[in-house]
Amino acid sequence: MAHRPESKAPPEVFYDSKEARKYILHAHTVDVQTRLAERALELLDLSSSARTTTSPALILDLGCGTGLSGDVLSRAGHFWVGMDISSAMLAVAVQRDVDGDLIRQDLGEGLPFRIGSFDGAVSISVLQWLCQAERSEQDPRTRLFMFFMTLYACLRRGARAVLQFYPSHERQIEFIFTQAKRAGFDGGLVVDYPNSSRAKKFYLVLRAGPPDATSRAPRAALPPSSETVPTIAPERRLQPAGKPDSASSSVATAAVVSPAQRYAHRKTSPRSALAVRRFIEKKRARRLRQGKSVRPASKYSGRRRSTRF
Amino acid sequence: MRLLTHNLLICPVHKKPLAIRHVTSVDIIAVEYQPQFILRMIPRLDWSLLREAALAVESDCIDALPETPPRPQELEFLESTNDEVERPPVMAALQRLLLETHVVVGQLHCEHGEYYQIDEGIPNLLADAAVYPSEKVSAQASGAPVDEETAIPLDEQTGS
Ligand SMILES: C[S@@+](CC[C@H](N)C(=O)[O-])C[C@H]1O[C@@H](n2cnc3c(N)ncnc32)[C@H](O)[C@@H]1O
Ligand SMILES: [Zn+2]
Repeated sequence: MAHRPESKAPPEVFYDSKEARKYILHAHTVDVQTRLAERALELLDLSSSARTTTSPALILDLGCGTGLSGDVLSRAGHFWVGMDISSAMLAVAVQRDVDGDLIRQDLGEGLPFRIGSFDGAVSISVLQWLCQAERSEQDPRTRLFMFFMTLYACLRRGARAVLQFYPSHERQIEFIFTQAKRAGFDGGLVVDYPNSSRAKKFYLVLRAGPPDATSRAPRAALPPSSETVPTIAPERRLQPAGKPDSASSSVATAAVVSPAQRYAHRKTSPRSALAVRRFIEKKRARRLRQGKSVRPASKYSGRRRSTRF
Repeated sequence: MRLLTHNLLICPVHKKPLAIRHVTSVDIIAVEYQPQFILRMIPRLDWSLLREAALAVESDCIDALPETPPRPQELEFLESTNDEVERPPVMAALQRLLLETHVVVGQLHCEHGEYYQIDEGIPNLLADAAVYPSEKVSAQASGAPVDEETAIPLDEQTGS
């Protein structure tokens, strides 16, 4: 993402089959996208905002690409629907046999779902693309508003959307916030590793509708030496990063610093055994369809596997 | 595309449900039984659209689907009997239809006339991919929905 590809060509042109293959062959890319998606899932806070502790959630993956972010959702046991504009990226997702459903659509045209359909939404490294006008008749403001309005509508009330993106400059953050708020969202910006220009990551954390009684504000993960890093209370109303003294924005901002330690305390998902089994049954079904013999499904399928694979 | 996703989908232009037509390939992919998830999805469903979809993919499960969605009291009952060995027939049908039945090749038809193609399980909803068959466009002049296709032509299905 270093050279801002969104300023070079439209997404369906930039993400051609060569780029799509590159996407999954580069171990580093896979690793980075996977981590971003894991963090986004954490920020979705499904257990409190969507009351889904006992069952999988239904999640949207906006700009799903080759399904790297979707894999993270599958591993956590969730069902997901991914949307992307690039046929090449989606073709690789099909090849990779992702578990989620895929839809080809331009996010700037809006999300084609009935109201209240999803328990949450994630979007990894996509939003900056929507700030571009690819054709003369395209207006990024209208497209972003359309995107947020239809996203708001198809989420359950109180559900969250977590959108990691690469803002090209500060005003772009404000620009995006404005459209999200117009569409009815409230929320804030979570900045991970704010002091590292390379590792710094921006997550827009939005909530659709009035707070759920049980929903918590995004929590800042504290660095090992927390006194050296200013942590802003999520309740404080702040301007997006860099404009601490302006009071015009009503978007709450949580500065979050996330050391490697963030992952250390993470428990294994209670549904991970189940997710593994879903994968196995899917493979089994596929082999069965191809007429190959498989061992009969048993209650113990997949139980011996570790949680990560 | 699972029938669950299809059920939640609407036409990006007219915001109407999309009917499944001209299905030539269906996949059945077994997944873990998810009673809680299914029960949470029931209130989000367009029930008659689900019944039509079951017919469009020629699923036997249609017989186990009541004409109207189970009511909240019935859901409680279903939840209490979510034992894997004796799944209530409605639950077994919903598991199969919503989570395990995938439309691989076919079309989505909007009542305003246009079609969207489904290939490799992926519906293409891009504006310039919508096909407005010319004869249907003229039939649309009156503004009445076109629905001459209650009988679904099916060549051959795979996967079931
Ligand atoms: C950097 S990739 C990220 C893919 C995936 N989220 C991941 O983390 O692996 C950005 C993706 O956004 C998609 N995209 C860009 N603009 C889009 C638009 N207007 N509508 C739908 N998808 C878009 C691209 O096709 C591409 O697959
Ligand atoms: Zn339509």
